[in-house]
Amino acid sequence: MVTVNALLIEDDAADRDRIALELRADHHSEFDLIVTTSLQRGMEYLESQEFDVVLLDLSLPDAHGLEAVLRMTQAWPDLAVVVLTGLDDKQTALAALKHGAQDYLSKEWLDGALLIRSLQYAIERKRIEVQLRQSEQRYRALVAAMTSIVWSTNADGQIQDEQTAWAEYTGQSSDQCDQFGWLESIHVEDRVSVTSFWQADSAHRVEREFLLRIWNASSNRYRRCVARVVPIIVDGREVSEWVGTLTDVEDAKQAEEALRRAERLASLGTLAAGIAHEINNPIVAAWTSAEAALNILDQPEATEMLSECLQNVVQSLLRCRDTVEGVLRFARHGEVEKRNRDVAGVIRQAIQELEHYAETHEQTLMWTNEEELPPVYGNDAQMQQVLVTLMRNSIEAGRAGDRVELATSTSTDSIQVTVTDRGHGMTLEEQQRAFDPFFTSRKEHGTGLGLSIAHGIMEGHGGSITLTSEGGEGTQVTAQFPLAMQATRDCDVTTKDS
Amino acid sequence: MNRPSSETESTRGASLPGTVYVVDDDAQVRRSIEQLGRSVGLEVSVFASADEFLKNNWDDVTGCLVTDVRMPGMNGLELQRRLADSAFPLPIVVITGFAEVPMAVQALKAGAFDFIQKPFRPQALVEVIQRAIELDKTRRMQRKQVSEIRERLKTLSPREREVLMLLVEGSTTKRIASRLSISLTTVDFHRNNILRKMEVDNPVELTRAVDLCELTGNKTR
Repeated sequence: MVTVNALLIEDDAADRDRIALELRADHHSEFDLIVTTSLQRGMEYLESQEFDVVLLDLSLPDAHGLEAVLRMTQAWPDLAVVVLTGLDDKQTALAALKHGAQDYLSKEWLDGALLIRSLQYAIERKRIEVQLRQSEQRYRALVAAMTSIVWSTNADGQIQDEQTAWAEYTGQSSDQCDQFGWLESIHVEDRVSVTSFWQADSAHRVEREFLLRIWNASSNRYRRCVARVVPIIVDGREVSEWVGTLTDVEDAKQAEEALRRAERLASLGTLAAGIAHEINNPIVAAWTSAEAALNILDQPEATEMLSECLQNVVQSLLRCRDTVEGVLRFARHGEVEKRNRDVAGVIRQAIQELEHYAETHEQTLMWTNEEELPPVYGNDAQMQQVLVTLMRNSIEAGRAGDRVELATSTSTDSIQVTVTDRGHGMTLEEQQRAFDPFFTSRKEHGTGLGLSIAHGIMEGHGGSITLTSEGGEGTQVTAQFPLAMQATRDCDVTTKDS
Repeated sequence: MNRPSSETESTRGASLPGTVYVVDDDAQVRRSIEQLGRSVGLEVSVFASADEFLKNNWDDVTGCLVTDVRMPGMNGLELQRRLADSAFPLPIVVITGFAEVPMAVQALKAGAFDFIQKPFRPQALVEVIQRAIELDKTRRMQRKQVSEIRERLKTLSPREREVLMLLVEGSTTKRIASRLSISLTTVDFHRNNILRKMEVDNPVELTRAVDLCELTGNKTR
């Protein structure tokens, strides 16, 4: 049973006894009742111990009417107070409620059940009230601590109350903000999105975020801000007002842009150095062989050497061309059209494309567990390019008589395609650099861009590519293609049907 | 015929006696340097890696070594260090890549004859090879002279050596006679013997020969 600590301040002995009797008769709660006859004494009790509820008579010898309530609620704002009044005292009773009392009881109509319920409700209501007040204090502290600006509008987006934070940021006075005046602070190009939001049917207006350029008075220019609006909904249906935050993200955006610029420059620098390095060798070779050819041009016996020189010139120039093409492919792999694709078909095509190449290396190429596979979302040509790159690398790493194996497996969200060879394998350093542009273990074949392009493609597909190798034991590369989402799969089917 | 580079005229046909050893991992670059070398009359031997070069015996003939710096496995600088340790006699020309000046500097500090940066003019490579071979020739000649002088010095008697040292210091016949307490005619007798044995005409030439011996002797690695 719950014990309720109650304090009864009542100067009338008969009322005191009656109330004490009623409380003692209750079987659900145990009332630990302390009785006193004056406000002064009551306050002294409150100083010395904690009470859940106070029953306060409004006609005490040392405090009459509202005065008693006020003194009580001001001193103990978290205390539940129920006032006791005479029959003719209804006005005072109502005033008492306004000043923080939880309930009033007419002594003429006092019965046990009513009394108990009133006390319990008073305690409960007070508890909730205190909680609410605490939460509101916390909320206010939060708002004060926030660097964002907080503002509110009516249901239609008009500013009606004074918006100090907004005014301070934008330099608009409250008159200027009034109604839709606040829109003036938004950059004219960004204003459309906001006005159309407020002009739209209120039924479709939901919580939303905008990135806007807002005029900032102190820096005297527009700054990028994230504005967030949230409707305050009353009765679960109707929007009573909108509150929002405005967060200045200009510095963050600028830092982000600078970083991106630096990254772009860095990768451009790396790429340029790579291109220079890659192209310089064949340029040197072509030029040098050409010069050698010129040196021996007039020697009648030199035809064979002349032809060797020119062959070297041609081969070197082809290498330059391959590098340039590779760079272009590398730069291009950004936007491509993707659809739901039958990956098994792509694999078969890739194998077909390389069959001849494998033959010339006296190797075989095979898909060890050929099977039908669920669709993946991607670009045919690019996926095929990845597979061809992986298999070609494997063939080039292998020896005559080797077999390059391709195996597939499906997990809940992706398809893994693994290409395994028994070739020379890669050192740890080679493995770490394998995806770097222009890294190659075979200087005169290939551009060193194959795997980095494949890596880029897989990233563009939301997939990945991983490599494991044991020196001398061969290499295993796995490309992981994400499965088409159920939704887009269905979607694709309907577009095909229609 | 309109020749793109007139400098080649001087070297074309004019055969350069000498052997160039080329170490480069890029087959086409290797081949092209081989062709260029042969087109100007050089003997050329090519190697695909530093290891391959170290494993092979090279002939100690007039020539030079041309090596790429950036190679998988042992790079050009490491090869240069190994060769320096084993008293490799030929001048070394190092080929550096684009923006690899620090490597070039390192190579020069470690005693490379010169460096050439890719992409180089083929003629520039021929010129640097030519200069390297010239240097090798001069060094070989000096080495030969020095060993000849040393041989001749061995034929001198102890007394003749004493007289030689004083002659080289620039002492007069009179002074030598008094230093060694011998007669002027005896000094003259020794002097003539020394000049004959050393195959020189006068004390000035004698001094030069001894100096050469001393200098190169000090520089011997």
